[in-house]
Amino acid sequence: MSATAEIRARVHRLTVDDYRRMGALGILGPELRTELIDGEIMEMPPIGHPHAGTVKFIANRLKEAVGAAAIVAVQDPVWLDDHSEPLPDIAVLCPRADYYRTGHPGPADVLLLIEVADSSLHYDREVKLPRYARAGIPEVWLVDLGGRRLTVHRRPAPHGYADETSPDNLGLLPVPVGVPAMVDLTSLF
Amino acid sequence: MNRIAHQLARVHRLSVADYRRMGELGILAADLRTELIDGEIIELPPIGQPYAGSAALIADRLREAVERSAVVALHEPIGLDDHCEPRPDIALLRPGIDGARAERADVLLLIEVADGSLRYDREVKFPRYARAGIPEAWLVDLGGRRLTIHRRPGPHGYADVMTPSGLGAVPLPLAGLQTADLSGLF
Repeated sequence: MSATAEIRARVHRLTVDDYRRMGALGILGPELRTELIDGEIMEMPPIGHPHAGTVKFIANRLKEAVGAAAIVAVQDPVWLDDHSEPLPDIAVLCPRADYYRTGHPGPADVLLLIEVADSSLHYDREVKLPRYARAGIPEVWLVDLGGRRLTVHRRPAPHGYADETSPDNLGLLPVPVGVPAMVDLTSLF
Repeated sequence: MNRIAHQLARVHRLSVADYRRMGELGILAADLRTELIDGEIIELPPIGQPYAGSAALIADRLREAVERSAVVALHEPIGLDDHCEPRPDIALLRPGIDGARAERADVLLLIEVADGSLRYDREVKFPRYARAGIPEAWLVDLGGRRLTIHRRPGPHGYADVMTPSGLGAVPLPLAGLQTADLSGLF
């Protein structure tokens, strides 16, 4: 834990631009997996296989479900505001001919974000979800591997999502891509 | 809100080398006053009064007392270890380091002048000075009108904390046993 956590009003907050320059200039090495949250660089834990396999399973099912209606990105940066650029596990993005080669997607490009949580459940729920809501990300799914539970979060507001539901049927989940699309996640857990 | 983030995830710790490069490359703007504490960049508040005048008084009196037997530096970064480069208010350094970046082995005494920063100085900076083996540190508490002298550094802090009996002849950690006249400090 941070040494200055008790008295921390004055920690310098980096901008997304600072953070990207640190990556481009090698101050943040390519071996590091990090995200920028409210101007602070957070290190992501190494990815375990239940987490990695679940992400692959969901991403592939989603791509089959949405076809050309969306781009499915895995562990890529999405910027939220001037001081936050997290790495969500899965991002379902508005289709774009350049596949976002010319710039990372922002809140207006995101249709759905998905976080798969093992040890990171509290971090995802208490740190990342409120920031996704504040940025206006319309929908987030949180997959709790330990609790074998998927929750759908909708109606973003400044302090969090107003609407949280746990779908009864994982076999027929509507994917918010603007056209009718259902994904079958039956064997998720 | 970010306190929650600190409890639940690992903040990336910058090295002193990273931090210096960020300054050289302009990622940390030249007008920003910062220090690196345990790999985190801390912003220093703007310099106000009576803080600035008090620091100037101490620096002046120290210079008079030490003459050429030590170097008095104001607000200069001191490299303590791979992840700490604080900017103490005043540093008394071994002679002959002019122009070079000061490291912990060059330090004879560090002084912090605290107005709003008392807790930060006492609870964050002093334990790190002690951990780095800085032999002596003074804390000038402007609000409480009190000078404390901290000696015998250990892994968790200074073992010896004392208040000098008067401010007219405060002993300096120099071989010549010079004293500094800090009368009028408070």
